[in-house]
Amino acid sequence: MPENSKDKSNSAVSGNRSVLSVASPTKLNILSSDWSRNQSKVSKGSLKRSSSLNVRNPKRTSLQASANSIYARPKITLGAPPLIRRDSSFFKDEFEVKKDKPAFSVYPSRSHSTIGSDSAAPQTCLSQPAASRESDEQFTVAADRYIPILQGASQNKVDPETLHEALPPPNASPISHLRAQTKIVFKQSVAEACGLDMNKRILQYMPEPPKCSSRQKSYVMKKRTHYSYQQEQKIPDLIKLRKINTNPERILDAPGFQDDFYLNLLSWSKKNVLAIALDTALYLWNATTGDVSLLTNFENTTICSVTWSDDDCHISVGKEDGNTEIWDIETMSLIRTMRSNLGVRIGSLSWLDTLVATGSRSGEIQINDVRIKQHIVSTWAEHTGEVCGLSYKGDGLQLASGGNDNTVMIWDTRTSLPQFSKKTHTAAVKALSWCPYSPNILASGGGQTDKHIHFWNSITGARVGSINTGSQVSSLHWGQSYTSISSSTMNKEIVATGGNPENAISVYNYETKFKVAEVVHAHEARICCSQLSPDGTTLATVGGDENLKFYKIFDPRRTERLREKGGVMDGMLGMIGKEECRRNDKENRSNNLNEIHTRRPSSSTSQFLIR
Amino acid sequence: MSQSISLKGSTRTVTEFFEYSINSILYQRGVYPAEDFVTVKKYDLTLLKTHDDELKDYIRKILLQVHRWLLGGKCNRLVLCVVDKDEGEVVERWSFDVQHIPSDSHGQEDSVDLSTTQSQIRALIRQITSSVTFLPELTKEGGYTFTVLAYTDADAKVPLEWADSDSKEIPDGEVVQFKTFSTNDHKVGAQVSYKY
Repeated sequence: MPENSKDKSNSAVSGNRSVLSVASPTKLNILSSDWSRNQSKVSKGSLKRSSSLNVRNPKRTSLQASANSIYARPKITLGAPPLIRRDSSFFKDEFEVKKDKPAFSVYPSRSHSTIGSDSAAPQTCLSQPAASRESDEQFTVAADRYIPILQGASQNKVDPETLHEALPPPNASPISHLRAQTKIVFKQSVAEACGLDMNKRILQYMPEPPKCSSRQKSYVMKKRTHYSYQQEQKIPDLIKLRKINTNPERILDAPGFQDDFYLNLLSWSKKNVLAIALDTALYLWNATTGDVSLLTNFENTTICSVTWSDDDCHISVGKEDGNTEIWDIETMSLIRTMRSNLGVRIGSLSWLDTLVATGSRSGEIQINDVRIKQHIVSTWAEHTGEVCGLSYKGDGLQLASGGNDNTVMIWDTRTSLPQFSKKTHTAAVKALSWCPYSPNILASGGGQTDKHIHFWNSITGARVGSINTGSQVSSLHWGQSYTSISSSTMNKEIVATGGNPENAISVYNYETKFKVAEVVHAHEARICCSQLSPDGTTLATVGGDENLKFYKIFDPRRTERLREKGGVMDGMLGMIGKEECRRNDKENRSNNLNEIHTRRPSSSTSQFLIR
Repeated sequence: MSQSISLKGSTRTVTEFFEYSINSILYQRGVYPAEDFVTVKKYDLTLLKTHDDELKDYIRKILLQVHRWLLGGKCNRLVLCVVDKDEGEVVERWSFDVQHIPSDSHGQEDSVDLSTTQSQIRALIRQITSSVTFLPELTKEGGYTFTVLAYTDADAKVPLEWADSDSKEIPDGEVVQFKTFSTNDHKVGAQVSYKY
């Protein structure tokens, strides 16, 4: 052979090829599909291997480079070319071999390869341009040996059954059989090159996983074991829709009321006096007598928050300039001005005996002790937005705060550290309410874009329930109802006041989370603030339409003592002067008594106030 | 042979294993806060399981479908990817391979005892739990979410919630192979790949 001497490098190539073709006759069906995949996945490794075999090849470096680029983008760049090549040169090789020995016996590789390289390969290879040679070579290198690849072998190969359909009739010539197979293999390789697979699908579960509700902050009470209490599932009774009077009991005019979601401008004391801030002035409305009195008018600073103290004799007023004033109601005089030194408005207040927590626009929560001169006992700066909700838990061990940074924080008042910081809400959290029935449940409501009420267990920090209200939640209050006059089963309920689109007052059952009653279009504009009367039956709401309305929402709470008949009525609730009201009133009084007992004995604040 | 289980039971075992391993991964890797989990006794181990209703429901829905596929022999891999919320990048990829063992292939002698399966699962779960020690720390607290992939056959019935996806492989990721467990009809292996 004269050409053989001319083609030294080529013989090296064919030598290389001889190694690979050991396995090829036995797995002819599979090889083609395997090989194109191998190239993308294993090319790097197999290249190394072939170099260790010490096959000299001048093109090695360039090849490696190309293989590297293949490695980076395996699927698209390389899938097709070897396949086209395949039926041109290599296949012909093999084909001719087959023609020589049509029986599928496994013969020694050396002889096979020599036949191949001697007869067919040199000519065809020579006639080809260098580039195609390269790819040919790549093919040979890639399919170096039969290396079983787990994934490929088990899942990736052509399913014989689908192959079957496309196969020509059994009496067709072997060439047409081979063509048919090649076609299928080609199809598959194209699919693979596009990153698809014929027999396999990767499916993703598309719905978003629930939001990561919270994260625990630096403070951990104590490392303790968790026990799962298997609570038996009680099937809740069917909740009947409740009938509530959708007409307000009374409407008062509230001119100049600031339509600002972040402010808390309404407060109702247990002595039945309702305080409302109208722009710069603070008015007191005695619900028993219906008298209105002007407490103060600051003229040039607007009022941002109003809250009664626990003893109901004093009222704290948060102002726009950052000062908090405490007024005595008996004498109608200013007792004390506490400066926050922040220069931003105080939008929320909460009392605990002699302590007042103030929430500022800049996100600080200051705990002020009204007894001492240096009144700021601690400053908690964890919120990054305006603190618009503050509420001490009944036992005073925890303080809940909600901010414009969409965060609810539960603070341990003993350590001054946030026990939990919940970021589930997606809007400002103003509405906060501790459950009076189970002391560790906190309800929080989000603003315009959030529309949810979430219930939290303040000990474990877990979210125990949620309600989508469909409207912003500006305030939340717990209440109760009874299925009938005689029945003693109490339904725990929570009322939320909303804004767009219906400006509604909605009552939800806490156990089932169903809406049981609703007052749609309670106001003409969004409801900004609401307060529950001391007897827990009537809700005072004030909205952007500058109206103060009173709705009777809840049944009065029943206690054991109330079952006994008798007692005197004092017209405490003058505003609802109906016969039914008498009963309420009585209950209301004893209720108050009860509340005083259940709450910490509130040592009268006035003793400690600095005059 | 009284202790061996049928295909249905075997599938249930596999699905149950998925449930507990997904739960423990979500807990161990801090995808959800610790307070969302409670301890349960399972496989003679103390494992953590979520009690957040939403998450429970989410996992249940996924596994219900996977269970159906497994029963039909259509699913051969389940993958849980821990994804960076901000960048959408897969940081960890937990892959569970399921191999169906055709019932006629194994004779009486190599059918797997139930207690053997249990102890194998125990070993595997222990391994998953302890893998926190070598996995790189997920530094962004609460900044991760997860997604689930199922590798199925082309002819599997696909409900609306599932859609085709790429394999979400981690490029140049480190791969750690875990133990396997087998029941009469399934062989389940696990591996984790992570950004190194």
